[in-house]
Amino acid sequence: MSPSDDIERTLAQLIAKVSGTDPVTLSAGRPLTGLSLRDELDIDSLAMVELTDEIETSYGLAIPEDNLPSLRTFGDVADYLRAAA
Amino acid sequence: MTSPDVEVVVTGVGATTPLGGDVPATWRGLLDGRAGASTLDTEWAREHGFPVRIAARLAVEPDGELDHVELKRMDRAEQLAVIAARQACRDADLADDTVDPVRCGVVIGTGIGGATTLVAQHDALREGGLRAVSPQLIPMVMPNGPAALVGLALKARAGVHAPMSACASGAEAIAWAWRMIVAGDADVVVAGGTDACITPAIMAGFTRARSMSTRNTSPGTASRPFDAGRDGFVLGEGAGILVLERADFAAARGAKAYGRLAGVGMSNDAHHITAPDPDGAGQCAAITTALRRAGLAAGDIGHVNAHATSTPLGDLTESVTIRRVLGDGPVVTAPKGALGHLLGGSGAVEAIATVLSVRDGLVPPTANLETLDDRISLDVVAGEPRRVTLTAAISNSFGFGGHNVTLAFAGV
Repeated sequence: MSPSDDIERTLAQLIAKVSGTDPVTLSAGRPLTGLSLRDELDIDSLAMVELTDEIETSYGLAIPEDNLPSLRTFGDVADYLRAAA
Repeated sequence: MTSPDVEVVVTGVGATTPLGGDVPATWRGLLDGRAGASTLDTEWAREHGFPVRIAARLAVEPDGELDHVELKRMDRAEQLAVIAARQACRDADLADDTVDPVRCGVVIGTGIGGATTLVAQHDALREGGLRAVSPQLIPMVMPNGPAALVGLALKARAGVHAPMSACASGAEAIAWAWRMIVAGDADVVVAGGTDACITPAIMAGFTRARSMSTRNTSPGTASRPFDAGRDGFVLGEGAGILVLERADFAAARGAKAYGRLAGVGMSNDAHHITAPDPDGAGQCAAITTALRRAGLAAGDIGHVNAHATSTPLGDLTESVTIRRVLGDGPVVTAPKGALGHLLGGSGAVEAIATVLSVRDGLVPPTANLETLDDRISLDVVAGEPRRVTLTAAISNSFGFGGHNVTLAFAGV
């Protein structure tokens, strides 16, 4: 499905930049929110560090490392950003 | 072990080198005696007053072959190995289901590995702090990175190995691949070597060791193996990969075969960390072992693809070794005149050239050989390619650390 807001749109672009897998293309009609970062979007533990750097640079915020384990899906990260941004 | 019951054939080849972005272009460049070296005009070479301003850079940059994520996550040496491996697997018609993953192996060696990345990331750390360092750094600099990436792509489970023997690494990888198949550990092994380290620290190291040619006014003629005027090697970058298969496995699936890897020999000089043993005993042992394992006699070897890097001492020692073991019969060529020295990539690219020579009955000239060193009495091809009917040929590769590897190829 298409991104529902600017946060999802930006997040999709950052994920595509980091892993080469575009969430919008991959979702093919499914909601973006349920996509697994690791299993579907090729964001392994090393790529998660890269994605965190990209998000922190784009949004000017710092994501504490303790929060990373709870970010498992596209929707987890989008919700986190909506709460933090 | 002599003349094994299991025969090993070459069913696919891939390369990216200073002469071309694939094997056909590289082979054409070798046959034309064309030199891949050019002037190295970089800011760092000027800034530090490098006396060496020559390098053999890739003919085709990897950015057209890989996507942005692959380029970002792989060191340049890894990129070249992956590109060459894809070519080799395509050439061999190796589809996803051709071989059971547990019967598929990968062996890819490197002499230096991820030095370009390591140096760049060290600079990034100094200039930008910890956050400037990529979390991908370790898989980019680990010397088994090229083998691991190709192994992942092939889902190879029979074993993924990364031998390191400096400039013999690519040849040693092929030798270990042969052993895996002969020992019954795999049916298909994708093997070769890679290096890409035309980077300040490595250039500085070879410069300080006085190993490289300083013929800066004529970079195209700087690498001149066996020539009386040789003054050192030219650093190059590149990768070569071969698909090796058990002959009956290849035949059953109808794969074409370029030739047989009939036998391999490995030895060590145990003499000096960089200098070859002037007696050549270790090099002789590698050649004789390869012949014995291949079930070949010295008289069967019609061609030698020499290691000859264009250094004064190394070329002379190898010439004495070849003559002692094989006499003056074999037609000799030294591809580093054209390619430059690809370090870990050399042995693999030169193995490909050797198997093509056997298949086509054509030996490329030694680029830039004008006046044969009068202490060298070998039949070294110069000027034009030489037509010769070949039963078998060997490719020599030697590396700092005293490593000697000889690969013996024969027709199918």
